[in-house]
Amino acid sequence: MKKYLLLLLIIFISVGCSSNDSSSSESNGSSDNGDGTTLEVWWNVDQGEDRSGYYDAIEKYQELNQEVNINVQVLPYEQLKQKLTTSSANGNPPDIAQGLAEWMADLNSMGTLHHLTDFVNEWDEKDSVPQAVWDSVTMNEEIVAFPSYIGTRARMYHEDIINEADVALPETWEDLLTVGKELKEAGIENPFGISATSARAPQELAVYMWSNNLEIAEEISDGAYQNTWQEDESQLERATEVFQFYKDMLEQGIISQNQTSWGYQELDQNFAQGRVAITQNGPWIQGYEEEQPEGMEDVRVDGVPPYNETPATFLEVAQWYVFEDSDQKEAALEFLKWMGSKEGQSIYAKGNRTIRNDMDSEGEWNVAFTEIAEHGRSWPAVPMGGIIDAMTESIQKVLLGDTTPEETAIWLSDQINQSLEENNLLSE
Amino acid sequence: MISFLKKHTIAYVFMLPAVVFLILLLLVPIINVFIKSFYESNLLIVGDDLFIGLQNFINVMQDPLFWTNVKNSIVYTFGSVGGEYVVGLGTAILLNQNIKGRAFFRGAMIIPWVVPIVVAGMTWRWMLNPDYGIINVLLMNIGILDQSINWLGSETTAMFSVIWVNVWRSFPFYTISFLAVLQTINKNELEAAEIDGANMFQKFWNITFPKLKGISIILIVLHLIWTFNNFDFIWILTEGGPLNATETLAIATYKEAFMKYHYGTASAISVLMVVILIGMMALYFWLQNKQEAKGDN
Amino acid sequence: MHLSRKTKKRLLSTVTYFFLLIASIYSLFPIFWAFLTAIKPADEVRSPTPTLFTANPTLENFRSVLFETQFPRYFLNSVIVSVGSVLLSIFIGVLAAYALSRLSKSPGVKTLGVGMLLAQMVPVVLLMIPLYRIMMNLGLLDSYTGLIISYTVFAVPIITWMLKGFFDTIPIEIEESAMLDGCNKFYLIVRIMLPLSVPAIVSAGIYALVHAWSEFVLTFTFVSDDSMRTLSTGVFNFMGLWIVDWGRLMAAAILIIIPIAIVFTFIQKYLVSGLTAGSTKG
Repeated sequence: MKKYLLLLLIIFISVGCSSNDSSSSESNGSSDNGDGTTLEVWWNVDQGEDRSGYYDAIEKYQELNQEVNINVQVLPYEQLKQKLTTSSANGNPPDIAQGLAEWMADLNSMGTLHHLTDFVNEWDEKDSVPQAVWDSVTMNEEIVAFPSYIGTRARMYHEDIINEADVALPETWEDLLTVGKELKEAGIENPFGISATSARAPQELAVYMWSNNLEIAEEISDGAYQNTWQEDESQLERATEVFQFYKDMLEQGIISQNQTSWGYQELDQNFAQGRVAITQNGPWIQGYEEEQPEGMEDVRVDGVPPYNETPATFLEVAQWYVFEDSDQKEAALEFLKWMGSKEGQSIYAKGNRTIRNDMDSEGEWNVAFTEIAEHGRSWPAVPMGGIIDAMTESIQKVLLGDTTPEETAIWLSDQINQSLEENNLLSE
Repeated sequence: MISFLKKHTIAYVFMLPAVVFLILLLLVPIINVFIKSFYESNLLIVGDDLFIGLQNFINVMQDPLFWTNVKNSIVYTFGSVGGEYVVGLGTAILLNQNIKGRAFFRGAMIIPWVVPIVVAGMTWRWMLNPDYGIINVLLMNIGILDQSINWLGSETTAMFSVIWVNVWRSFPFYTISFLAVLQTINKNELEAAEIDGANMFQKFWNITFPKLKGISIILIVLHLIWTFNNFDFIWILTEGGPLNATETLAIATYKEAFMKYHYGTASAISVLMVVILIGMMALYFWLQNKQEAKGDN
Repeated sequence: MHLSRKTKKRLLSTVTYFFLLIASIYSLFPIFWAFLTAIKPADEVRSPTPTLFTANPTLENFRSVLFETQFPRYFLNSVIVSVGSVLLSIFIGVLAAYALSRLSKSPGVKTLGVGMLLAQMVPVVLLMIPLYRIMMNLGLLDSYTGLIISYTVFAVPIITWMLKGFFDTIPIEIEESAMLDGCNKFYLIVRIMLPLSVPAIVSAGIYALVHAWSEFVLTFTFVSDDSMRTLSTGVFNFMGLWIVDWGRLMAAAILIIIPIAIVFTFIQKYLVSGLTAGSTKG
């Protein structure tokens, strides 16, 4: 009996161990269903509040391609990323996923992304997408993702609040601190709006870094990166200024204490309700017009977010991924091609969200976003997982903790370099 | 051999399903974790994992954040278990009185336990919200607060709030367990003591409390383990923030594995968690034995 | 100050009711508030000055959760998986507990029992990746079987020990007399131990049920297909992409709590008596 048990134990252990080599990769649930192809798509778009027409686009695509069936799984960003990691690291990914620019390098380093360079080069509408957009999805000269929509950040404000307090629109940080103080005195609870948690926090921080002539990670030599703030006194000084700016805003009441825990949902919601006077935000805010007609009525958008040295903004290119382990890459690419076409874009990435340069851009919102596009920047081509985490923490450190801005700048610089080192990307 | 089989087969057959399950779905993954803790395993670097001996452990222990995590885990674990014990025992004693509407009160107190953790976490997050949360509004109306507090978002109150919510969800299990035992206590014994002039507290201390010892040990040991390893509560409420004020070892493990993809480091943290837990259990039983030995003298 | 016995009694009962009331508010207020939020119209939910009661109650949130989302599907999944894992863990638990209680002289049985408890010590969080692989290789991702099995694994140790505690209290003489009548062990369990252990089994079952109804991490890891999600994982769909829709979320919360609370009111007396027998011995 004992021997038998032992044998059983060995069998079970070996079953568990054989799972470690990836030779036994199985295909995903996305198998053919007899009368066509089923594409498994993961994203974070909830059907109930789909303001951008994603589901219309999918319906249209299925209408045009009767043999294709698109099966959508909805998950919030954070969970989406974890599920993508677990499933793709185990060779069991969906066919397509839509994700944030921050994830691209991570997923690519895991070797799970299907490279799209050849596919894009053969696409005859390639030139309808600006080169800057292609650059943002390129790593080591390979296009690894397909652009989905664009979310550039602009300065936004409630015109009535500004007029009522009779203040000028702030262009620079200094302006913002002055104007903010006046608004505060006029009884505005949140003169300016930031996001100190969630995916939005590091994006905002990056804009302020760039606008103060700083790089998050500089490419020193081919494929080797470094954060150079500590190499150069003036850079460290400028990084310190960024954190000092956050600290000043909080101490002078230009952002309220509650904002230290706001994520993007809180920021957007409060801004749409008219409880935040000025902020930097993306085109999706327009979607609130239906839900918060009163609060949104006086919202205006123009220019880049308040800057210090150089006008800069975050050019967010949301991305489609096609996975190497998907067995329906052809069908997946056809789908993306259509989503990037004029027709597809006009359904789900209207106006200022489109990746293309040949669409109408009329109306105040579209013009405003087109005008600032030249100042748009995106993430360096390194895995961002550890870096964005540290960036969020640095904002909290300076807002909540008793760390000085300079200590915070040094800490963040160390963290970035450590993350680069762990991924074998640090320049010697 | 034959007689051995004859004698013991039935025991093994009975244990077999449990053993098969536990080996396949617990032991195998656990061994996997222990092995990985000695390897440099980073999902972002394609290629075979590298054996690096104790390096992961050294790295983890040299990181000051690890010690913050240890401290947070201990505060969270003992704070929660302590709070649950007190509230659970208190409510059990109340429910054991001769009162009208006992069924209602008992039902009311069990309810939090059946609320799924995710739902409990979301509900409390909604109530503790600094902008629209009812808790702040009520406290300000009563006049206890004159300014809204960012309960989950400030370093000083986050851990307290997380513990508070965890106690809310977990105390009913203590209540029903204690109540079950209290109901077995012979009323005559208590009455006899009363006649002897014992007051309420003496009665409780000398008669009731010793009877609760057995169940207390079980409850405390189990909840120490569960709370120490608990991940979902804190993740849903604060994700370990603000500024790592609620980042326990379980949260750190998750972040290390799923946000930074350092599977080796994450495994090392888990192994250290097991070591700390075993240490805690050993200490607990040692104290227990010592106390018992004293009691016997 | 010397109080008469009667005044003392009255005082004591007033204090008791006072504290009971406080404890009940502590327990029930979150659920009460969830309900009040759920029946508010959308624009009142996010008011910076929330009122307890709304003047315009609406069932819109409930309607939208029930008819516009996959909620009914998640509910069905939760029921199937929870019931399945309760039955399976009871089956495994009863056998193992019997062995631990009555057959612990067989070498290795005690060790296995302790091993079960030790297994509780490893954080589930990190087992997610290896477990995912195992489930994938067994082809059990996105399946009821996979979820039932994994819930069971984490419920079995504690159920086993709960039942063992109870079995220990059943006098061995009852079995011995049956043995003399020539019954075998299986028969013994089915005809003698089980009927005697109904309260203990119910309370162990409730434990497993609560555990399964609440499970989040494992389901989240093993399930990608929306139609296979359970309530705990599906509820995240009500946290929108752009805003957290608190009204709908709270409506969903209420709908999740109600059924299990009803189940509880019916069987809670078993729970108490089941635990009594198991725990008095300690």
